[in-house]
Amino acid sequence: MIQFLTKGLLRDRSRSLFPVIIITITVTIVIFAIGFMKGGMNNVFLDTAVIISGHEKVVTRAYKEESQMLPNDLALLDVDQIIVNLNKEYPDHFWSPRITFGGLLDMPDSNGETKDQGPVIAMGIDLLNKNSRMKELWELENNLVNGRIPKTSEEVLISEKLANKLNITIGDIATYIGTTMHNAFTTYNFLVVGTFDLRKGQADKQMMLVDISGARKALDMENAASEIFGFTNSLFYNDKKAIDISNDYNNSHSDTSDIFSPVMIALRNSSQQMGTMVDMVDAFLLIIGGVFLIIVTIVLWNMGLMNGLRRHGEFGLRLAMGESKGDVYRSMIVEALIVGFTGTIFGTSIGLMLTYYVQEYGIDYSEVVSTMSTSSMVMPNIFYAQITPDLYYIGFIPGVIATVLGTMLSGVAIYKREMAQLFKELEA
Amino acid sequence: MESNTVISIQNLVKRFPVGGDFFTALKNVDLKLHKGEFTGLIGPSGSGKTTLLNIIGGLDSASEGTVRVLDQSLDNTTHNERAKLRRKYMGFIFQSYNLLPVYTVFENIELPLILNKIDQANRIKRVNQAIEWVGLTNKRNSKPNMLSGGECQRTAIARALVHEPVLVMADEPTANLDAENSHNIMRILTKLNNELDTSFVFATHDEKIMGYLKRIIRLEDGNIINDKKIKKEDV
Repeated sequence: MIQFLTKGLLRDRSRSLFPVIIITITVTIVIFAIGFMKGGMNNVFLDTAVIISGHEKVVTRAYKEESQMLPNDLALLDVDQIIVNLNKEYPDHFWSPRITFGGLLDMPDSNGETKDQGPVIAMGIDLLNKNSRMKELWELENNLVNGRIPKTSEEVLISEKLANKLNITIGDIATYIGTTMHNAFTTYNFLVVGTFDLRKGQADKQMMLVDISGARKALDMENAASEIFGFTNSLFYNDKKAIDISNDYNNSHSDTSDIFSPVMIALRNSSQQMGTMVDMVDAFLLIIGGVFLIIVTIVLWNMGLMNGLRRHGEFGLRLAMGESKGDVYRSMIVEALIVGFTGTIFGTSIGLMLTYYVQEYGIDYSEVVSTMSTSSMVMPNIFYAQITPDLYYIGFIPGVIATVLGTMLSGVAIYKREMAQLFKELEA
Repeated sequence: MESNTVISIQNLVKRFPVGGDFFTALKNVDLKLHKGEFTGLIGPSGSGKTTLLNIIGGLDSASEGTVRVLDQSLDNTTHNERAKLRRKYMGFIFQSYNLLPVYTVFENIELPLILNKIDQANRIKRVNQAIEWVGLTNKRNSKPNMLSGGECQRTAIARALVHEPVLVMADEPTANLDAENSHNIMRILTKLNNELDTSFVFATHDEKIMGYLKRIIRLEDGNIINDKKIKKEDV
């Protein structure tokens, strides 16, 4: 009987091909839409994480309290060992030191006299270490406007906006004027080797990027760092996991009585705005994703229902010929399962491919979002989709469950069918 | 089976609820049909022909009286028991053929054998034989939409007979056919009735059929008003 039904299923396009196409399209849309929404939201988190907070970051308790002041005198010490321990304890993350420091950038003329001068926010990031993923995270190759990426600790990148403001050209010497971590006055000369544009609104207005070794030299911060940023290896922010990790770390490593003991802060706790944003995003994804899922579930439920009703005559004939109601009902369900699984597998595959494409290449919205970035939250200009584990199975909810439930519902008619009317119905 | 009785009905009453009342479709019907009979239930619309056919086929149950089909009482039987009885011992022919459009002639005829779990080699043999009975050898791989009305009904006949049932029930089998095809169909059915000794029960008011019947039972308002066996010389 299975072979007989399979033959019918393959030949009757309205029972097989068309439902499979509808399920495939629907599941593809579900997968891509959810992947794109999650990816888009993750991009917002990731850009904020790269520039401001990491998915998690470790600082001293004292630094946390004064973080707005960039108090490097309260920086973490013995950073290499802390990073070794973090890598060991949280292997699904990578950890990178960061020195964030402010000061003045002085641009001398050929006589050594100040030509231009302005405030600068400098980031000492791990650029030179070949295992570092900072170049990838900062998308330096894409964001470089002129010049090249620094190759030594004395070389810096200046944001295009700051370079324009201070008339900086590549090859210029830029003198950083500020204070060391011991609160001593310092001046340090850097060679400008390139300019960059993060294309994230005003986020890089006064920004200078330098390798952390250069920042350490300039600020006398040997084996010290303002913060240690942590990112998941997949770069996908999982809020619950971030909170769990930070709680776990703080319970085992942080001493509330020691202001210099390390404390881990999850992205959502990096600022009040960020916490609200994370909650809003979660609620948004839940509502939009849920509503979307319900709509497509109803569509596919209805398709299963209609498909069952359309074959009223065939089922009547089979009942008249002596097939039991249970057997007819079960054959409907098996067909719905086959169609549902086939459509869902195709839909999930195509949806994942589309999502992967947009994950790799993104969709550029730079014009739209350039005005939306704030100091505590950075808006991305290119939205990338994100393949998350749930995308591998979420399509089965509308694709299989809804289709089968619709079929089951229409199949109830088989049990309610008045057998005494079969002759009349089959003559119709 | 008790002697050669295929159907034994005593004091059959069938009532249908209509509004708050009951409509009596069959009134104290007594009937015996024997193996090999070629019987017509004749009567105007509403006379109870199809209701009687339904009850004989186990598609409906009696309100009163006893119905035995193939020596098996249909009183208090489950749906599955009646389905099994139909599957094994009965065949059905419908006015509008009810062939499954996506299957070929061969496959449509094969269905009752699949339902009866006959092995494939045996199925092929029996389907080919049934196709020969109805003269559709050159159409075995055709789909129903490529067949004429007469060919469709011949396929339906082969489907009803392929598992060699004891009893075949036909509801207006020639109503959709022209005169020539109707006679062809009836000639095939008569031949198979003689060769296979299968009992046939027709519900019809088609005059063209009458001449082929060996027994005519006239129904009117739920009563059998005449039960006449036709002698060969009459035919």
